Amino acid sequence: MSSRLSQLVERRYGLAITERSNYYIGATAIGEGWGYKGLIMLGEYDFKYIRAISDTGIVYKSDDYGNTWSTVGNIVT
Amino acid sequence: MAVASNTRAAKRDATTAYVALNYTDGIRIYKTNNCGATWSLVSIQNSLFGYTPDSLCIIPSNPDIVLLMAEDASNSYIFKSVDGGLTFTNKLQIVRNTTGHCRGNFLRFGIGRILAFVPTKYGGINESNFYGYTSDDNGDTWTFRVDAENTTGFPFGSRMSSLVEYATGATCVPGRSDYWGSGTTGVWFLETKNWGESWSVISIYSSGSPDWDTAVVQLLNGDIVISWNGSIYSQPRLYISKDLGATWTLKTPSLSKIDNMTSTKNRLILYSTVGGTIYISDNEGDTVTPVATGIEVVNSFLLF
Repeated sequence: MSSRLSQLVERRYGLAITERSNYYIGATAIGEGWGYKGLIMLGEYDFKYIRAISDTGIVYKSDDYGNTWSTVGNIVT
Repeated sequence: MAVASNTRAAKRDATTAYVALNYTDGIRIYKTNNCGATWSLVSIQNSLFGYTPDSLCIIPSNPDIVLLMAEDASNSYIFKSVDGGLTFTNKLQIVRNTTGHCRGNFLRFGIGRILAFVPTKYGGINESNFYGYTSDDNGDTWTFRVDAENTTGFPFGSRMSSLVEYATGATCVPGRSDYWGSGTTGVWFLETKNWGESWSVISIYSSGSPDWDTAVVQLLNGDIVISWNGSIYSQPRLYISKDLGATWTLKTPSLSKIDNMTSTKNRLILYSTVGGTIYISDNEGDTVTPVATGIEVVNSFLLF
């Protein structure tokens, strides 16, 4: 966990981060990021495998944090 | 073969995700169990023919629950499935602007409360507005929380592709004023610090109005990044906060548009419809590097 982020939370919200959980919030459409549940931190943020879903259902993939991309195929077959 | 449209995706867990999309027979629900490598058809919602999916929300603690925000020509809806997307029941219906272009979205707070920003009607002009609702029972009932227009004083529109809880109960929703109607333009951030119960305007940029597409992400270092499409400017915009939303800094990265955005660690991943290009930035938009081109319009990113 980022110590600077912990300091930010303490300063702005008066919360001390004392415990960490590996539970993460979920999908990109819902929002990926750091969240806090009382004093328990929610969040993992080491996402290596990225999928881009097009309007027409084409799936593109990157397995290296976005450095290189390739086409997987269409969801509707 | 017909072509799907309006595909929206949401992740359930480390390997599983759902999509909803328009097809010739209605809204179809698909599911992957292998990080998007292959997809299987879950259901065809024939009764939702002519509806457009806005967003999906999956409940990690109950993976059989799937929430679908959708709209038809007159209304916005939230439908709920309790059987993994096989069947859906209408849980919320509000009037939307028939000519509006807003896209709603969900945010699931860490405590389990769900926030839904649902497109609704703004009277008289060619734009839309949002109502914010929360649900504490996984989408069965919804409590009205905010009229974005009344809070900002102006119509409040955007196509928000991602929202994030960046501290306990805290999130911000980016919008923009009416471009076509009132002549008063600007950008707004609505922020809540109490899980959506009350809202305030945290920043106003009044001299211009970026285009519709917005996204909010948070980097590993805690910085919050909001993107706006910049199609009526020469450049798109990023707003960066290094103090959890207390103050914001404007950046104008060197690319033509930002239509969608996600992040991993401290890297921004930006999608632009110009050339169908994916860019990466490891310095919060100071420099951007194109890494792929010819990518069709990206509505959703999934991170595994």
